[in-house]
Amino acid sequence: MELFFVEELQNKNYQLENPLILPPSVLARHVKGWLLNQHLTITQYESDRGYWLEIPDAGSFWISPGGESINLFRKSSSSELKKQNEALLGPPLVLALSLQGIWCLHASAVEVNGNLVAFLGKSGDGKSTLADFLAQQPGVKLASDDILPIMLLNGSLFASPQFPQLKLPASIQPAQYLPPKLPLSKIYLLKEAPTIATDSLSDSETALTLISHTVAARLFNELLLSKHFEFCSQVSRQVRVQTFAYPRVYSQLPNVVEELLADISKKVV
Amino acid sequence: MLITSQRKYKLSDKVILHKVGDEGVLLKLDTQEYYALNASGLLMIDKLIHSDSLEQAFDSLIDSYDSPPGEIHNDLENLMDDLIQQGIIEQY
Repeated sequence: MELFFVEELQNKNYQLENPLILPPSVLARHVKGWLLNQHLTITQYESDRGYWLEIPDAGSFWISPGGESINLFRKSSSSELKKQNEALLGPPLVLALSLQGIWCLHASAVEVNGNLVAFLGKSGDGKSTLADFLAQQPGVKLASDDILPIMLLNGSLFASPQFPQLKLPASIQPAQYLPPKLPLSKIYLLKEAPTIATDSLSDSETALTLISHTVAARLFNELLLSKHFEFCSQVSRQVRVQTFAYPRVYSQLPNVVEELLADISKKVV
Repeated sequence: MLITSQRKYKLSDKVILHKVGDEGVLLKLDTQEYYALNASGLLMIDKLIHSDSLEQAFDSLIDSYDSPPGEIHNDLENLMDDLIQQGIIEQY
């Protein structure tokens, strides 16, 4: 399974601007969320013809049943087009990937020795800051700032560092220097604490942590929910999420990074 | 409640259970709610839905644990009350 850049969406598997086909019309759900720097409500329709997402200010997106294609209706003004492109990289692309068995974690990540290490946490828990600081160390590269697609291939867990990261300029997108997919060897759940400490979540806690950090899961219907549940259960049987508690004080970051790299090196060969 | 019943229980139609290690996770599809089960909870629910009767489940649990039967009885009863109330298991 391949992931495509946005630029490639237009001329590879993803067909755009096809207004002549009857879209899915059965109202499935309204989903509230944070998108385009605002709280908004996405309206979702479903049928055997796929999924139809209506996103305020960004337009409508039609995703094929298997997630192989996204049709959208181009906005005319440049400001609307910018919002549409930004929205495309959110729920529509994430849902399309999910339909292909590629689930997107809200996570930052780094590449170390050919393996990826992911960092989960609530907004503001320092995922991006920590990954960015780690990536300044020799032999470490930034692999994700915000969204990390993960998948099982022949029973092994992989992640893709090629999802377009909205908050990063084009010149430093991880896709510029990392391959389409790499083994995902460690997952940390970040927590704030006065001192550095690591611990291991149980199997069920690992599954629930993966579930709760999956992007756009509220768009999933029952079939997709059950597939996602199966996926997270499978992953929890082979990778156990570690908690990494650390003081969120900038002056402490060098120590934190040193401890973290030491812990990563225990597992990543 | 005395556990001498021939009643049978099963997972509700909209509930999925996955075993992960010696623990379990439940998903209620209609509400998108997830529940974690520790090893004891998983064993109890496993016995409950795979036994021919509640009494058989109870007897099987007594064989599995060193705890006094009264304690196992209370734990099973409490778990069942929770599971029924949450719509996770149902009698059939």
